[in-house]
Amino acid sequence: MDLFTLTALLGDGLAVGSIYALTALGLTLVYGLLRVLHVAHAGVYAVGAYAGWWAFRGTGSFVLALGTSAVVAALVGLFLEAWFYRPLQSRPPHVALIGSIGLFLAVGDLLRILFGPYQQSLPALAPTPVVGMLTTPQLFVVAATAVLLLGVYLLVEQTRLGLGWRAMAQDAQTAAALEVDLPLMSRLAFLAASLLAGLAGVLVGAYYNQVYPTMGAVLAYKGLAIVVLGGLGNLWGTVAAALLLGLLESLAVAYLGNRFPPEGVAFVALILVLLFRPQGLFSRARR
Amino acid sequence: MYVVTIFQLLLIYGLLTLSLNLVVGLAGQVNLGHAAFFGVGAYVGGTLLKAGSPFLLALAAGGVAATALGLVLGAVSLRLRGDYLAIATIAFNFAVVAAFLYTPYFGGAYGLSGIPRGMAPGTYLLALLATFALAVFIHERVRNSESGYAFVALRDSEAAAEAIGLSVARFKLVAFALSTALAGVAGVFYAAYIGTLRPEDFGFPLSVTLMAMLVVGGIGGLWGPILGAFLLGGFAQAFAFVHDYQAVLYGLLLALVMRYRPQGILGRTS
Amino acid sequence: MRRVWFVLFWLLGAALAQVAKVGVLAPLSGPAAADGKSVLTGIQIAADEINASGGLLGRRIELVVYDDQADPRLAVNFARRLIELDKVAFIIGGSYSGASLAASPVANEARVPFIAAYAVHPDITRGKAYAFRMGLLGPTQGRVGAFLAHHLGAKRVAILSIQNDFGRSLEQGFRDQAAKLGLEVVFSEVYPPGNQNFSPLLARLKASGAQVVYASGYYAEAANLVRQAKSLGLNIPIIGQEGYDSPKFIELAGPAAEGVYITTTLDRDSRSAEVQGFLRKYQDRTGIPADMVGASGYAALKVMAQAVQRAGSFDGQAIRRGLLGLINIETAVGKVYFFTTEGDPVKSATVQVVKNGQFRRFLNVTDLALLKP
Repeated sequence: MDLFTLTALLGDGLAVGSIYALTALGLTLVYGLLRVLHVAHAGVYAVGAYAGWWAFRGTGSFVLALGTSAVVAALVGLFLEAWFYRPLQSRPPHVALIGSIGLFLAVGDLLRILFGPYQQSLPALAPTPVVGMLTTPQLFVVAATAVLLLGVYLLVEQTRLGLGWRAMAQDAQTAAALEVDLPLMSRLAFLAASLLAGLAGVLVGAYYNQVYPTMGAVLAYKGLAIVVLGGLGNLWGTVAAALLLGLLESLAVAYLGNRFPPEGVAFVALILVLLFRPQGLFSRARR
Repeated sequence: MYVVTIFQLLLIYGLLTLSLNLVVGLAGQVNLGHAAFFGVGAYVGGTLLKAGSPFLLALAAGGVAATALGLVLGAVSLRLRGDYLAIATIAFNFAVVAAFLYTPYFGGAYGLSGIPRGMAPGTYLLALLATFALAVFIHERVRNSESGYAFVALRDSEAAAEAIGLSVARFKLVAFALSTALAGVAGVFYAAYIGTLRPEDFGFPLSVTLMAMLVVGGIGGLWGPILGAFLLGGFAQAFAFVHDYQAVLYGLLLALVMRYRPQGILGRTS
Repeated sequence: MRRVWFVLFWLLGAALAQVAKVGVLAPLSGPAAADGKSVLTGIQIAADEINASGGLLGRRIELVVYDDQADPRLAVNFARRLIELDKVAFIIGGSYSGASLAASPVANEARVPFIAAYAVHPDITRGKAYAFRMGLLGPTQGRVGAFLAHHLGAKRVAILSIQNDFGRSLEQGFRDQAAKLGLEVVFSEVYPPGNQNFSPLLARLKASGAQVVYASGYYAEAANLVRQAKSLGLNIPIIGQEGYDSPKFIELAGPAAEGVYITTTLDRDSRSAEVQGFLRKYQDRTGIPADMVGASGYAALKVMAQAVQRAGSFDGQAIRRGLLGLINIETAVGKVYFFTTEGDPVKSATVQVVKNGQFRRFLNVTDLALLKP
């Protein structure tokens, strides 16, 4: 394997893995606190992408696009938390799950009705080679993700909010008894998760130069796989799993092609993990 | 004829929701991969029908194949709970679809087409109605029998059920076996109905639809699943005049019913 | 005075009641919605055109459109609905292969002519007297692709196929012809529909020493493929097919689209009045340039109209004979020499190349040996 191919694959794998990390992080954060599989998260991602596209189209500024997507996605996330998820907290899990899937479908189609079924281009990151075969979009995505992850780390480990989250994730009842404001924790978690999802959406839109109504679909499924592999509720395990998956996909596809169905293999692996190490690859056994 | 065709599809959906209810509503397990068993039955039965075999043989083969796979998933369910099981069933669905997509014998990406009905249209309708009646019968027998109470005990609290001496493992497996057998049989009827099969028709979206039908109609009882099947199954046809707003209305229906009537339309508030 | 208006309205109503109902199945929502919109636009343009010049056998065409979401279950039931409730004269299948495969037997059984605008699966028409298609079969187009590769002087080729019936049938035809022409396949891979990341495969493709890439896909995948190929420094010719044939491909691929070849049936540089007229009308109506899918819908309705004209009636059997009797007609998607008894068209193909951000003709293919299905 020559150096050119190696850098190409590494760059690609890290970039893709970074995007996975940004989306899956929100998913696992929500799960850790509320024990709900927030499938509609992929819908928030798509809405963020369209918000960013719209801003870019209007102003030509990618920075504004990022900001707009973050704000819009966060608002949508807060709305979903208040109107949908919190009222259903005491219900069996399938209720939120099915409803969430319904929301995801509805949002996707609504985007189509509003903006048309055609892909929209978001030419903010031109694919020019930079170092070896690493390209500008790849570097940008990896750098942006690193910054955001740093932010999340500081938030979770160094602030009272983070402390509240960790308490709630570990034991909600005790946390409430210790006067942690659970509804506030929940709201802020959705805000953070949705913000990350929106940013991920617009980054992907720029990276592949395509924003389209069903763009959340792939992440809806992959996201689930990643949070399980990383350990449901385990933030850093999820990040590690996401990056690992990105790199593995890159290498596997390059050298094994798609002769073995990529989803099939990934999901069989997932079942095995669930059977033999359900806490994920990176957590200590908890149950 | 048009009405009859739709009715037949709704009956097939009804078979699927009733069978899913055995596992989800009665035994309290999660199954977001039910479409896989439907697909296995359809592909196995369809292949046989295409080869000229009699309908009953195809029906039996489809049912058996689906049950075999169902026992595998049942065994998996013995080790996993709740969200983990949900994800495992999703993964299972994807794996089965991938198997169809990449197996040349089943047509691979081309799918399986040109499947004959295997009998006269009138006979088909009668056979389907008879099977549906049988499914209702089985469903009610299970629900109202000792096994049924065991299932419900299982659903409400596995720990308690075990404490009073119920063999949790046995009942879970029985539930999965019955459920997937029915789904496989429904698959064979479907293959004869539509004549052409493609791997993506049996993927996760369909499993979600089936689960949605169950949940919107109301889990656990008899009429809930049937209502869900008929309502959501006939949705596209009934709302044909809405042209291209079908998908958004469908999604909204799911979200709103879950939000404002989480027990389902005919479900009981427990 | 009011009585005059009343009578006039009544007459108008009576006149309007003389309609010819034409059924349309197209994916208007769901993942295939973009193509659904294109094909419907093409069909609508054709309907307006026909109505403006007197209608079909004196009757105004009324399109009865159902959204099948490219789902066979919906297609089967909507096909029945069109036949039994709406009582259409014929059906235009504007959907993908899966849905068309489910719908065509229904139409065939009821002796209602069905024409698939662009779906490629051979079984749609095979063994069905009343099922026709407007588009090229996959293997035929594949053969044209191999011919082009050879024409460009390549000896070693790479194949990258989309993993569905579209990609597989194209690859089949390409390989058959490539073998005959002595081309060596040095790299062959598939990818799942919807895939956006081609870099891993392209990195390895670059190392294989191929001189030309035959890559199948729809415009969304193709745009990424081409873009990433350029960013990896892969500068060999890329041959696409009608899946690329959309202005969206050029828009999404950006500068990387320059020089990409496609085998298709919509010739932008055609001197045929039919083609140029359609291109102009589509641009005027939608504000964007036409694509092959839209052209196929337009051509399908125009061809059916000609068949009805020949038949002199709306009887299914007569229309069918009318279709089979058509010879050497110019359509928006190539010159149809005739329809085979299987219902497939033997028609000319074209190779377009992207020049200055537009599809332009590179060469036309009229060799019947290549084109016969």
